[in-house]
Amino acid sequence: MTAMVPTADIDSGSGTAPLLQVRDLVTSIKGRKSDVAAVDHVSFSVSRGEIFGVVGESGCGKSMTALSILRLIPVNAAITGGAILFDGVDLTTLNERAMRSIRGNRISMVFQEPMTALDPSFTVGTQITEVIHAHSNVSKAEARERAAQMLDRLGITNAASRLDSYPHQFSGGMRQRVMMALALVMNPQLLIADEPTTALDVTIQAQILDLIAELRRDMGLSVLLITHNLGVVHEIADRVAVMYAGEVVEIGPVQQIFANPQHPYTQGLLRSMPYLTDRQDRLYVIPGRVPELRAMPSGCRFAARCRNRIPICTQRHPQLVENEPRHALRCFNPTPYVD
Amino acid sequence: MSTEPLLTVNNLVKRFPVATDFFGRSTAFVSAVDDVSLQVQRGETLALVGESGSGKSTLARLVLRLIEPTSGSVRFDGQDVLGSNKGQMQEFRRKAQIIFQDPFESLDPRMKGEVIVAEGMPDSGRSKSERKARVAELLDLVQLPADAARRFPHEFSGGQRQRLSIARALAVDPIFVVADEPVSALDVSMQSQILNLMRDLQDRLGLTYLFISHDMSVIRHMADRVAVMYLGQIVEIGPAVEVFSNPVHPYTQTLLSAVPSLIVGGTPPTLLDYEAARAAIGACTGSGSLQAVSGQPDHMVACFGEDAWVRHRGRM
Ligand SMILES: Nc1ncnc2c1ncn2[C@@H]1O[C@H](COP(=O)(O)OP(=O)(O)OP(=O)(O)O)[C@@H](O)[C@H]1O
Ligand SMILES: Nc1ncnc2c1ncn2[C@@H]1O[C@H](COP(=O)(O)OP(=O)(O)OP(=O)(O)O)[C@@H](O)[C@H]1O
Ligand code: SF4
Ligand SMILES: [Mg+2]
Ligand SMILES: [Mg+2]
Repeated sequence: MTAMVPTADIDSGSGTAPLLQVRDLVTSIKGRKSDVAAVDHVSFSVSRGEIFGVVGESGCGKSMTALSILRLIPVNAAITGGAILFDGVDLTTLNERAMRSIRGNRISMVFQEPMTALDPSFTVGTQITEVIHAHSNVSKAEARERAAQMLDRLGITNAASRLDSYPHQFSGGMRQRVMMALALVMNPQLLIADEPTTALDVTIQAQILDLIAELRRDMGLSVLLITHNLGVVHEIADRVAVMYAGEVVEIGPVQQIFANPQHPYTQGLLRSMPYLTDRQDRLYVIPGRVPELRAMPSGCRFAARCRNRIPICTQRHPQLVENEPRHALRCFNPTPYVD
Repeated sequence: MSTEPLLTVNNLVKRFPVATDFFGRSTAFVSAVDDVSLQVQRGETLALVGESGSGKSTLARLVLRLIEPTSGSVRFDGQDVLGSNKGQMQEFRRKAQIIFQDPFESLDPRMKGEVIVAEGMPDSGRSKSERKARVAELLDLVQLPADAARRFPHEFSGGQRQRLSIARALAVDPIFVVADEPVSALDVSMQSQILNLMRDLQDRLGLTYLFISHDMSVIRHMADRVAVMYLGQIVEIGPAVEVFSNPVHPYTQTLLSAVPSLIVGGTPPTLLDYEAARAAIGACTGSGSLQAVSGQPDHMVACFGEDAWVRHRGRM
């Protein structure tokens, strides 16, 4: 029935070499006594023109995975295993200078918290045009024009006049869009977007998703999209990885995973969604809580919270196994989803 | 117990300068909050929704007097907030808490988790060990890891930081909490957990919430009443049931019809044309002031006339 496959082989199935291949990535956080793996043997790939979603429990290692790709992890963390192939080159082996020419140019990132990335002491216009000047040779006026156009496409009203505002003069959702402008203005090959629409109402969210879809169609943009919004994943992503406690627990085409979620954690997530039509008295919550990084169980990391648990779950660590073409999961006892 | 609303906001206005000339004089302004009046009853949740940049966070800051309004008044628990003296302000600051939209900005980077949470806790009536236990309890309530007390803000994930600021807001036993996108960085299970917690606290302690979110299904779950903001003004306000089942303002309709398909359990609201909406409001003056929807005295809508209507609808 199921075959063991190396997880790096679970790609989009397009047949061409993926643009990004993350292979067995381990990112550890230094501790007083010992190090802990915040990202634990994570593998996935993103094809050219593909939109790849990542969802998962708060604190499960999504941002750390994204930051590892650009080698922007915190000082107390280190990539301690695996490879990150971008267009065939292993980013983990590049020196800082080579990395800098890739960042913001070929790979760009929208950070989860805008103010960590925006400089409070420069106007938004200065920050965007600086990126343009750093990577291309255009006049000042042209750079300003391009910056304004980008903000306008992202739904900022009176974009040209808002170029002279400082980040603190923007609302939360406007800052998110400024970061998106910084990320997209150089037409990168890969956009890594960490929760890019958390502060946006549905109308502007739709506008931004349309823009991403358009850039993918016209420029072949690839996207690694981290989000808690399952509706957004459903709407725009081709494939999705579900992470739990530092590991990928389910990966596959979005349609398959939403129609037929297999991993008990994925099923729990879908069950937890509040619905628009009726006001439930209590929302469903996955019982229990995620294990601490320092006290990871040796068996399945979801076992303590799982309704499908069987004895082997606490004895052995489940591997990621393909259960139908291009759809893999890490579970000894999957059952069909019931709402 | 008085029947006066816990919070009454009258004609609140905030204009920000966004451009200055050579001499540093302001030459252009944004009316972030433009003549807003509303009331929040004790024990209720008023949800604030609206377009990004429509003034929700600014209104939240004005209500808590974190910034001074250009004009208007704020009454809280029988007191004029803007005219309060230092002692009254201190008391107000404890009773009314805020969970900020961007936790990274609002958490002191040099303070450890336990200090952040304990900071505003009243000294009286609690021993040191009781305080410590209370901090641990709060960190656990928002499902933070056991070592959260000893970590600095930058050592958390985005959603963990958000939960840290929720724990901090709850630590001082407030009676009113302004929650600005409090669950936007959480996975749906954790989000449900926090929303359940907020509802439990409300049932148990009678807390009052001003709850800002862009997620209509979250609003549906939390809100007793909903206010919809657009360009600094409230364009629709009313009981959540009525606003959700019978949205009248074109922007509200758009919000409810554009929810990604997966989340909508039923059919999106039918979109009214201008004439139908005018009929629903009764004698619409097109003046932009809030008017009651016929048959629903608590459900108010601002209608700016046909041109504005077409403009709003053009956004869809
Ligand atoms: N600088 C740091 N020092 C110590 N631990 C850290 C640091 N940064 C992150 N962590 C821990 O590493 C784990 C993974 O964090 P990460 O930011 O990748 O989570 P995430 O999946 O992005 O979560 P969220 O959805 O809440 O943003 C978390 O348990 C977090 O507490
Ligand atoms: N300090 C400031 N100086 C100048 N303009 C400001 C300032 N703060 C807010 N604004 C402007 O006021 C308007 C309303 O901002 P606010 O932050 O209240 O919006 P919001 O409704 O909370 O949006 P979001 O959903 O994106 O967080 C925006 O146009 C913003 O640029
Ligand atoms: S391996 Fe066992 S405990 Fe883990 S998710 Fe599957 S059934 Fe549940
Ligand atoms: Mg994160
Ligand atoms: Mg805001």
